[in-house]
Amino acid sequence: MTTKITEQDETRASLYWWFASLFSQELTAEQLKQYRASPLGQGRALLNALAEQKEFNDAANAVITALDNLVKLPHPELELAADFSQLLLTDLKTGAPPYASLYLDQKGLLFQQPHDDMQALLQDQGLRITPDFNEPADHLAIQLDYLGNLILQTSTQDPQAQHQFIQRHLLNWLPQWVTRSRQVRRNGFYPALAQLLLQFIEQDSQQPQPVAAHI
Amino acid sequence: MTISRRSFLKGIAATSAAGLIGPSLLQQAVAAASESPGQWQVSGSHWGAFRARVYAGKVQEIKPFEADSYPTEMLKGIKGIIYSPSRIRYPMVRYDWFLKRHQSDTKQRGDNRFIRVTWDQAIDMFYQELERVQTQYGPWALHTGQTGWRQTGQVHSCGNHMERAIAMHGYSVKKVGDYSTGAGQTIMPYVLGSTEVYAQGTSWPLILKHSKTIVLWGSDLVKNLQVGWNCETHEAYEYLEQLKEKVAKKQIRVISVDPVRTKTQKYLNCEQQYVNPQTDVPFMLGIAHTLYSEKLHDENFLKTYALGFEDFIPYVMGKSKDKVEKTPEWAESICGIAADDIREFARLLAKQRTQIIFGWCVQRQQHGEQPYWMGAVIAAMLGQIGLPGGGISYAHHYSSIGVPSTGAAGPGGFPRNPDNPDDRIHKNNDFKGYSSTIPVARWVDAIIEPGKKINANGATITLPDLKMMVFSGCNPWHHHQDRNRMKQAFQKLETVVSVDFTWTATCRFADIVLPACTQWERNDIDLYGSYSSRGIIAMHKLVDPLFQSKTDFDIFTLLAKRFGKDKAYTQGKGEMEWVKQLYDECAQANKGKFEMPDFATFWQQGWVDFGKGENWTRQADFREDPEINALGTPSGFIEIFSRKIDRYGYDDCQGHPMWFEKAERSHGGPGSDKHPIWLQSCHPDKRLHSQMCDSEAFRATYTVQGREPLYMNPKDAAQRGIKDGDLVRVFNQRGQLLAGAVVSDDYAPGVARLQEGAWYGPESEAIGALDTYGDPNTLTMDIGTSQLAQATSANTCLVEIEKYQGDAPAVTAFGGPVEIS
Repeated sequence: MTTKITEQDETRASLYWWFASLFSQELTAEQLKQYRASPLGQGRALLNALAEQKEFNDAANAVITALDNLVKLPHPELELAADFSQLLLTDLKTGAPPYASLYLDQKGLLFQQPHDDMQALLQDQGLRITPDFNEPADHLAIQLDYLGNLILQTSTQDPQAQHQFIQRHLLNWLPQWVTRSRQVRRNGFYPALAQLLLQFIEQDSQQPQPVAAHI
Repeated sequence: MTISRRSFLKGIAATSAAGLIGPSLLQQAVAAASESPGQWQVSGSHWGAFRARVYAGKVQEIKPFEADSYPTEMLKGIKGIIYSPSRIRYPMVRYDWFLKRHQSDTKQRGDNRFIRVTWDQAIDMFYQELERVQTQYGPWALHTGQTGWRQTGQVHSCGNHMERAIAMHGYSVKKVGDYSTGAGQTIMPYVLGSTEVYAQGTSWPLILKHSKTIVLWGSDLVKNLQVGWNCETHEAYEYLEQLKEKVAKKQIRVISVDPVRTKTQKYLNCEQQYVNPQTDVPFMLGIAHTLYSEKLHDENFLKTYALGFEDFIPYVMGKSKDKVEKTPEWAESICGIAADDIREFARLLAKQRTQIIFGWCVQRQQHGEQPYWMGAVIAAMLGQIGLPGGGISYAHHYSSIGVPSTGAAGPGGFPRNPDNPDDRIHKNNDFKGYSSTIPVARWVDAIIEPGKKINANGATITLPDLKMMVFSGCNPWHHHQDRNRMKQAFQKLETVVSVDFTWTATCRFADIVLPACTQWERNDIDLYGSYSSRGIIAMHKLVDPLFQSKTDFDIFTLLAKRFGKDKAYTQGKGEMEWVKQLYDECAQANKGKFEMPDFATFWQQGWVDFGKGENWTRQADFREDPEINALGTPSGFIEIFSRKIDRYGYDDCQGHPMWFEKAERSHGGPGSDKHPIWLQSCHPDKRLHSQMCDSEAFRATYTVQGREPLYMNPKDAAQRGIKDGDLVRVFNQRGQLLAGAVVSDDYAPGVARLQEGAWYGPESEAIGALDTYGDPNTLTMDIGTSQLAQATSANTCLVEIEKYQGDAPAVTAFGGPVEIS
């Protein structure tokens, strides 16, 4: 059975994957060029398009400003890599590691229930994490990657599944993570991006009530 | 107006994001066979053996090993180590070092700006730095000798891996001694002929049978026996339980000589003899004075087994150059014990069979050699050395010393040195006049004052000009003294490499950080019971290495490969081949004495049990025949006076034990007018040094407002307006920290405790920054015990304490849990 995928859903999935890519890997110098203010910069074009939406105007502009500040530095891609490490790769002393378990589990440990829940979802779908990305299943990027797939899989058939996933697996911890990322010192781009992601998801989850709710 | 569904996507086409998307993080899985609810695997640790239920690739549950009747509650912290948010997940390089390598701005060390690199990049940089240091400087510029309490397991023992791989590349500066027993292990070979601190002691059953009085001199058995150097058995607790009964029935009198009511004292419900901190020697001199004056000493024993009593006793009686008679009254004024009580104590010791048991705290202070030496002199005067339940021991709190040993051989280890000593890339062994081996605790001195000559154990040491250091499973930013001095020193190092599984402060102050996996992510083998040799334990890998972490074996094989020595390094064998080889060699060594099953059976069963050992009395053979069974001292006898030490001519450690005033001492001593409270930093009750401090939920069982507990006396607290549970600032001229007050009359007035191993969490990398968690070594003094041992003097430390006012900064030592303000 083929699922009819709307253009909107293709866009949504693409945007979630875009966020997943940005939160899973540092940008190379080559990739960073895409985000510079140039007519050829696809990344900049995307950010500009987001900034034109009133819902994301502030958040997207904050990302753009952070980028503009960054490219003035002698080694922008390394500065960005250090920001990435500080926020996402070290620990809660230094940054805001992107694992749901750290924000939802009282014990403050990795690989807790949110991980197990995500792992079970992946298993149900016959999916696994690629060996090159040996991260726990409750890593933000894995959740976003999964969501992109879920959108395409369920597009018009079962949008409620997407809504549930967003509510149960993402919005239950993202606000805390975003707050935490804002507290990280000397870091501009990623906290701004985190804020943009949050706003995007919040908008995306504001969908009409399912029919059943009106009965 | 309601926004129509997803109108916010207006104008953004899927294609605009398409070119920016990286590879998928998910892929199709091969359908997995349905898993059972998990399997119980065996593993070991410093905290003992345990079984772990592993399910869905995760350690779900941990329960104590069935042969362990007295498991430590610290097993509850194991999962918190494996799944700690402080895990190092990727190879990381400090940002400015990444840019400028050895010419980086070293003032930035500790500022937490790192770049992720691949393993290949990281190992390349590590190798290139070794190469640069060997060729640009020489072996004197590289120090790889600092080692610590590695994770257990004989194949993966991290110090061995680091030292073997580095040695196959070239020579480097090594260390002698350790932070636990530096003074003790240096002085005791002169006095009793062995380190004593790492020697088997008289068996507990004999002590329980023969001793009438047991003196615990600064020894907290119940606290410290929870951990062991190898996989700990906890068998000693069975004997402590029997001792408790005998105390209750008044069959044995146990006296804890300590300024603090210890966990052991409270467990045994025994007596305490309070003594002012750091004044054990005056107390002991007062005892010696009484024994001698009242002719309670054993002259025959001294004549037959000891040398130099006649050189020592004039010092006690005021007939030597200081002309001060060490009467109990003289002692009282220093140690705070009434003269008559000192006399009573001396008489009690001499009255019947007395076992004196020292801990290690008293030698971790300035002139720490003296109380150990003086203890041996008292024991010699009592004449009970070599009798069951009599004499003196220095380590009954350590790794179940005193549990009868089976005598079985344990598994060897992965070799620490190259198989062929000449098998090195750089054969340059010219240290340019610098010493190639330094006392363990003097490396920070070396960085700060290279070329300085110091005395150490009869030799002259020229401190080397260190440029690069490599640490593996070693956290000097916990165990070395005086953090702010360390910050200063680290600014002089060009390159620091740290291999660990968790973000210790040492990693934060390093340039290249390599993620090792924990011991539960690899297969290994260990001795069960360091001194009892109870058995051999299998250490099954519970889960695969998390994130990008690797075993030490793999990390250093990769390094050796950079200079073409990987085959020589591994001997062409993999992990399990090494595990099996160590087991087979052990079985061979035990052949005819202890039968061991074949490897496959052992691995499946999880352990080999050698059973219970036999009773043994320390120094009984020497007592039986001191000529044939001479001690390892220069004369073969107990040396109350050491000609050898006397000839060194040190003013701070002379020919016989003496009382020396300390640089800082509470209760009226130097510095107490300004900082009146003595801070002891003993081994923790709920950690192994700094290990397990990062275990979140377990740490939460003892912290106060998220900080390390500072234990203090109620009167001291009241005078300062401090209540139990308050945040306090502890400070002196060397540093400052935040801690959480625990007010308890277990602590005498003027006495406070912060347990060592509390992770260092400074507010910033700046010198003088407030430590937000409570690491006592923010405050301790970095001086040698004396020119003899040059060991750590951590317990010579005075502080002042005040209630913390204002908003406290967040704890920055760890990775979690999240506290959103």
